[in-house]
Amino acid sequence: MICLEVVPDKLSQVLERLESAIVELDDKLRFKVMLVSEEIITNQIRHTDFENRVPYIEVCIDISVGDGVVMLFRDNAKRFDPLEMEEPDITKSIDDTELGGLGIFMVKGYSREIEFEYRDGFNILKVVL
Amino acid sequence: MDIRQDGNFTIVSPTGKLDTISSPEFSRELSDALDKKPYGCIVDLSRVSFLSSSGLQALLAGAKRSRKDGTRYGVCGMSEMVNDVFTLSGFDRFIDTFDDVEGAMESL
Repeated sequence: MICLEVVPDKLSQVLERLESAIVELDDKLRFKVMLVSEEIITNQIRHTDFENRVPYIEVCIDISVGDGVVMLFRDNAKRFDPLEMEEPDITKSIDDTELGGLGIFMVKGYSREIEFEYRDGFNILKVVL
Repeated sequence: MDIRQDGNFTIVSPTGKLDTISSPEFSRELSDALDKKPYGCIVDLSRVSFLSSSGLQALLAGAKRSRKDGTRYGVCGMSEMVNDVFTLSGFDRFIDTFDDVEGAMESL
């Protein structure tokens, strides 16, 4: 398993390092890994409350699990379960459509399994692709 | 990013990824192109390898702006994986999609 610390103002570097760590995956799975990573990490950076703690965000990926990938996203922010977010209504008209929650909605759509737990002061989101 | 004029249409062709890093610039350039209120605007995604919700947000802003100004707006040339993101998000319901620029110009 490979783990990378996410420095909020160096997001592009983390995404590049992550991408270089998964070059052996096929195109579709690599696309899904990068999509899920971007959506979850940007959510962690922009929408979580670290309550005056020094932010710690980490993404871990295990690509040695048969035909799939297991990803873990951890952060030390206030408990926040993204799976409890209200899903966007994608049947709305163009004028009423906003993108809040769309990222996690897409993550759910691409995941074979997804689960959240809050343990030892860390939000932990496990995603299986 | 390439922006060109073809008859009454402005063709906007981003390259590479439309992710959280690159989408703000794409959104600005698309907005600048729409400021000129062309008859039609086609976003050619044939050279785009990745699309996230940030890229969708830019495409949505372009669609809303076009609707407001009466500009005909469409997206074309999506790869299978980019198209999957587009349909999963439900955007194919309110943004017209086409195989290529020529098809978009004929239909819009």
